[in-house]
Formats: sequence, C-alpha cells, structure tokens
Amino acid sequence: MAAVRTSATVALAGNPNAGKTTVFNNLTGGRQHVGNWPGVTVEKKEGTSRHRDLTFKVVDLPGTYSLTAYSLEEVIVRDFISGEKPEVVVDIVDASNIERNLYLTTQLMELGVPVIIALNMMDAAESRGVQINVELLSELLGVPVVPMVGLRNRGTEELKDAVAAAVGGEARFRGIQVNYGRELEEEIERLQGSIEGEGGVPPEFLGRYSSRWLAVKLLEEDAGVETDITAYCGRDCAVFKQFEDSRRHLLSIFGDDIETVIVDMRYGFVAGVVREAVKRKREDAVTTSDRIDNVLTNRILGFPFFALFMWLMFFLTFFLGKYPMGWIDSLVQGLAKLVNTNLTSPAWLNSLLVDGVIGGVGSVLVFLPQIFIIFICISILEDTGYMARAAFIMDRIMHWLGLHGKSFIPMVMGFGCNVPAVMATRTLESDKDRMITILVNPLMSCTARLPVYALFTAAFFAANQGTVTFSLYLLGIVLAVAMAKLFRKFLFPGESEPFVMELPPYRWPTLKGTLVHMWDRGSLFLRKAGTVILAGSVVIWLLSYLPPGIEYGSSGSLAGMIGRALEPLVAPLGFDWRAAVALLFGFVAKEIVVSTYGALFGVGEDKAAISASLQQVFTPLTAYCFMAFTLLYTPCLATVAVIRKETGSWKWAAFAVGYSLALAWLVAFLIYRVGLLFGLGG
Amino acid sequence: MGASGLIPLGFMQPGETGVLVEIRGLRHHDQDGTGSGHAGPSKGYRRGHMFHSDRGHRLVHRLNHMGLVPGAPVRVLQNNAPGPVIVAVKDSRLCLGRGVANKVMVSPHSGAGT
Repeated sequence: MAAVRTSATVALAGNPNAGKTTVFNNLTGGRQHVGNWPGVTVEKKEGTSRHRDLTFKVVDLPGTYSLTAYSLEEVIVRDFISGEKPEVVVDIVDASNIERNLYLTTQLMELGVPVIIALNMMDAAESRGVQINVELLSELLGVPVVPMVGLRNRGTEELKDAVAAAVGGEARFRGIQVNYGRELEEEIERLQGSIEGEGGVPPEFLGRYSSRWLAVKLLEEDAGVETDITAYCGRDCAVFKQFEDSRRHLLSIFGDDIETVIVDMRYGFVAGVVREAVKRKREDAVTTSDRIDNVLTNRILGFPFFALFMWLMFFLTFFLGKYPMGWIDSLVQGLAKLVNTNLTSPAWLNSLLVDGVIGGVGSVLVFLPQIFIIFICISILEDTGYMARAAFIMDRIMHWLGLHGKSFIPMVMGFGCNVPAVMATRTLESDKDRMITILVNPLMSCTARLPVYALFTAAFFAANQGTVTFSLYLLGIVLAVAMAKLFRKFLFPGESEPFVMELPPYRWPTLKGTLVHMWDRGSLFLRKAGTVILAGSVVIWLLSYLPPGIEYGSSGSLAGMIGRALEPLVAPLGFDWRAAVALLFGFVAKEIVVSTYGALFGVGEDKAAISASLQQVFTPLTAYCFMAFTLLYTPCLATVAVIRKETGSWKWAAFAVGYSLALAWLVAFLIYRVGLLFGLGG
Repeated sequence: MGASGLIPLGFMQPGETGVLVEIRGLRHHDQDGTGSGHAGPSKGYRRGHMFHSDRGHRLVHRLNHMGLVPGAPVRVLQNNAPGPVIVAVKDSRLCLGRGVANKVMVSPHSGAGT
C-alpha cells in the first residue's frame, strides 16, 4: 500500500432525488459510518474514498433545494460547508431536471468553496431528448463538470479525478457569481463595506463566510445570518444601520419583498446558462413517467392500483415465502433431532440446546424468508418512486385524519419493521404531524408479529388462516387511524403543515440497489435473532428449568411464579400465567412470544406438539384476543428506543408504551367479552 | 393582484397549462407558526429569531426554491379534487396539497377559466 500523501474532505450536496446516495456509495464502496448531525436527528453519513495515493473523507450532506434558514437540513448544509470548510463540495445535479438543480448550485458557489458539478442521470436526460453541452456548462459556471450515470456506476473514476485535481490545486475555479442587477449589486457592495469595515463583523467570522454571502443573506432577511451578526456586533451596529437603509431603498424600487427579487435573479441566471448549454430535441414535455402517472395516479384508477400493489406485496410475502420457510423449518427440526439423539451431554444441556436455543431462535428464524420478501417489496416501492405516488393517492384519507399524504409512507414501512418506519418520519416538516405519525406507527403490524399469528392461526384457525391474519392487519390499521384522530384532536391540535412533495420520475430499480436496501433492513432481523432473541430464549429456558427438580415449564418453575404473579392482570382477558410470561418477555421483541411458548411447553420445535399444548390453554376466542393483544401492546424495545431518540424525550417513549398497553388491554377485553356474549367461548 | 383571468392551480383540469402569476401567502394560518411547541426533533435549531417566521412566508419560499416562481410555465397532470394536485414545473413534478394548490394563482393559456 502506498503511503497516504494527502487527506481531504469532500462534501456531497444536491437536491433530494438527485441520486446523492448512489454517488456516495459509488465513491465509498459502501464503507460508511452512519450517525446523526450533532444535536439533531438528521442522518449523517461518512465514508472514505481512495484514489491513487489520495484518501479522502466523503460526507453526505442532507438533500436540499436551497440554502435558506427555513429548514433544518439547509442549515446543516451551510453550517457544515462554512464551518468545516471541506476542500471540495461535489454538487450532484440531476441532468434531467437541470434548471431546478442548478438553482442550488448558484448558492453553493456563493458560499465561496470550490464546487465540482457531478452531472448525474445523463441517461435519463438523453432519453428525454435533453442534450447538455458539458464543456460549455463548465465554461459558463466556471467550475468543473463531470457527466455521470450513478446507477450504472459510470463517471465515478472521472469524478475522483476531478476531486483529486481540485485538492491538488490543478482545477480551475473561477466561481462565477450571480449578478443581481445594478440596484441590488450597489446595495450588496455597500453592505459588504459595512460588514468588513470598522465596527463590522470580526475577521474570525469573516473567515467562515464571505462578506458578499453575508450581504446577500441579510438582504434575503435570513434568520441565521441575522442571529450570527447580532451575536458578533449587536443589533445597533453599522451593519444593521446599513441594512435598514439598503432595505428601504430597495423596497422603494421593487415594491416587493427583496427575497423574491433575489430568487428571481438566481433563476434568471440559471435560465440564461441553460439556454446556452442545453438543447431540447422536443418541446412537448410529456415524459414516460407522466404517462405512467396518467394511470397510476389517475383519480379513478389510482386507488385500485394502490390496493392491488398492497395485495401483491402480502400475497408474495405469504405465498412465495411458504416454500423457503418449509426448508428452514425442516432444517431446524432436523437439527433438534440430531442434538436430541446424538448428544450424550447432560440432560440439562440437551434441554438448553433443544428447548431453549433451537426452540426459541429456530421457531423465529423460520420467518426469515417472509421478512426478506416484505423488505424487498418495500424497497421496490421506494426505489421505483411509487411510494411518493402512494402518498399522493392516500392524501385525501390522511387529510381526514389531520395528517397529509407524506405521513402515509412510514405507515407502509411499518409493515416491514417499525424501527426504520419511525426514522422515516424525518421527512415530515411539521413536528406535530411527526409526533402523531411516530406514536401510531407501532400499531402497524410489523413482521415480528408474523410468527405469533402463524403459530396461533395454525393451531386454532387452520381453515381460514389467511382471513384471520388479514383481520389482524386491518385491526392495526383501523386503530392507528382512530388513535391518529384522537391525538390530533387532544394532544397536537392544529392544522397539518401544507403538503408539498416532489414526485421523482419512475425508475427501474436496480437489482443491486434493491438487494442492498433489503439487506440493510433484513440483516437487522438476523442480528436480532442472534442476540436479543437468543438471550431471551435462554433466560426463559432458565426460568422454566429452575428451581432444580421442578417439572420443566410447570407452574412451579420461576417462570410459573412470575406468570402467576401477573396472571390477575390478564385473567379478565381469558389468558393464563403462560400468556403473562410470554407477553412480559415479548416486550423485548415480539418474536419472543413464540419462543416463550416453544420453551415453556418444552417441546422444542415440534409444531404439532405446540399446537396441541396451545389448544389445552386457549380457546379460539382467547387465541384471537391474544393475537390482538400481541399486535397492539407496547412497541418492542428497539422501537421504544428509536421513539425516544426521534422525539428526543423519554416522556413520549413512555407515553407510547403506556397508551398502547392500555389500548391492547381494552381491545382484547372487548373482543373477549363480546365474544363470550355471542357464545364463542367454547 | 386580483387581476381577472387568474385561477387557482387547484381549479385546473389535467392537461391544462398556464403561467404562474403569484403565490398567495397563508398569513391567516399563523396561529401555530413556528417557535414554540416543538416536540424535540428541532432542538438546537434556532427558529425563534427568524426575520420571516410566519408560515405563509415560509411556504411561499419553499415553493420558490422548488421551482414554483412567478413566470414559470405550469401544467396540471392530475387533479384529485378534493385531494392533491400534481403539477409539472420545468422538469419537476410536484405534488401539492389542496390548500397549497388553491393559493397558487395561474393565468391559464386557453380554454380554461373565464
């Protein structure tokens, strides 16, 4: 390995949906560190990239349309660029939507850092009949431009070359500035004078921002810059005096607010560049993506198609998942038999391995295929761009709940796992909308509940397993809707944030992208099986085995004592002490409910035996109540942790636990009592 | 302002085109604008000192930065009334909720709005 000569920091900026993540992965080869920006819950991704003997750190900045102080993401981007002074900012520009994307570019260049434009999605631009003269574009903007197709990993080496050249000081950066017109430029100059002059902004602050940038931002009435300058020289300093004069003068000319004029000027500049460097073959702008939207987001057809896709997702999960599940099942059972017959270890060790480990972890591992299929489906929905359309279609219904369409996306993701779903609420602008969406998300039936449904429906509703499982999903959705409405009314009153969302063009998902996406989430389940569920299973086995001499898993065991202590709490729902123990440990991860029964009945992985034992302690009615309770009660430990992290307070995490526990009890109680009235107790 | 022939984007049918004239502010929505009441996610982020802290202003500029500026040609792709609208602006496709779509005033090209 050649010695590392230089190291540099490269920041990736760009619009949402411009393909930033793909370029980041291409540069870093997936070696990355994911964390949060200090103090906030916006994801921060860092990785390293190697090019010849140069190593550089790549920081993925949040996707933004602009650099105002209006949104958290934008503040993070500009604070990072001005504070950390990366050697190069790579601006990912979507070539098929160049005009809007270059708007951000003008602002990045204004910050006074070297910018390289990565002109991504060249293939999409070409297929739309958009031809870009890359050389001319580079000439007009005064920065290097690298054409690329991120999804096909084309242009990555060229981009690295350009970064290396920039770090080595070989690239040209003329850094063209937007000309805001005579009147504005005059005032900008005056303001710059007062910023740099006596009683202005101290040099250490000017080291971070150029005086021109500060002047423009002041005229835009940017809140962040106002606060910073106030902190340095007070509200009465020369800068603000000049600002008031300039503002009055400009308002008398433009009669509008100045920010709008500045925005217009930037777009005017971009439009000029685009007119020169971009040729369009066709003027009719109806794209293939629009044609697909004519069907998929159609007033009448939109919803049926959405329902079809959802049905397809679950059909694939349950139907296609059956086969590999069968294989894993026989593998696990074979293993149990092998251990049982061939191991001459002491009986307790045998019991630990067969009842605890294989019975506990194995019974959950069987669901791996289904979990992976549902994650693949969700990845495809996201990667094709359909998820945004689902938000569009569901907006009317969500509106009735006092939320808007965007809140629907985390709901669908909740069918996979509530942890990433809660994190996905970060795209919601309003904190109130976000809180409601987070709090009801655990009611969406995630894959961890599947093992529970499968076990109980097989034992009690063998004839119509599908219908019963479907009814549980439906129960979760209906209650999520009801709770959202309640929370909006009583906890977070007010209107939802205006709904504005970009619809990315439809894209074919790449196999690699989808698999990576699926693996990212699915592997969490595997890790969970190897750690939390394994540990839980061993603890339950231990509690069922001790004290010594007791009949395994009987009511005299430690587990039995705990269960009997809790039994009065769940007795009104028709549950016995075993259910109490299962639910207690299921708080850690809901799959453990199944592991617990596997361990308690001491029959390891033998399905028929568990079914038979279950039939002795549950009736179909109480079994249904138990499934409903498992669906609704306290989110699992990982979800509680992520709720705490995302809301920034233990209070809300505790609330989520408390309300769902109460809801579960109430619903199970109602089902049980009403069922008894109708004579379903038998 | 209030010029005749302007219609809200939300009233346009799929396929209709026009030129964006203005975005009306949402100043009457101010009751819970910004600042207080944050449930936590925005900690460490100063919103309180904004020059323009009202919601309407913020929305107008958010739309501006996404390409919806006065003078921009717009084409309605879908109108899911009383739900949201999909509008084509330059090369972007934006989904606007009903409330937003009704604030975006457009001078339609022909055949629409009287």
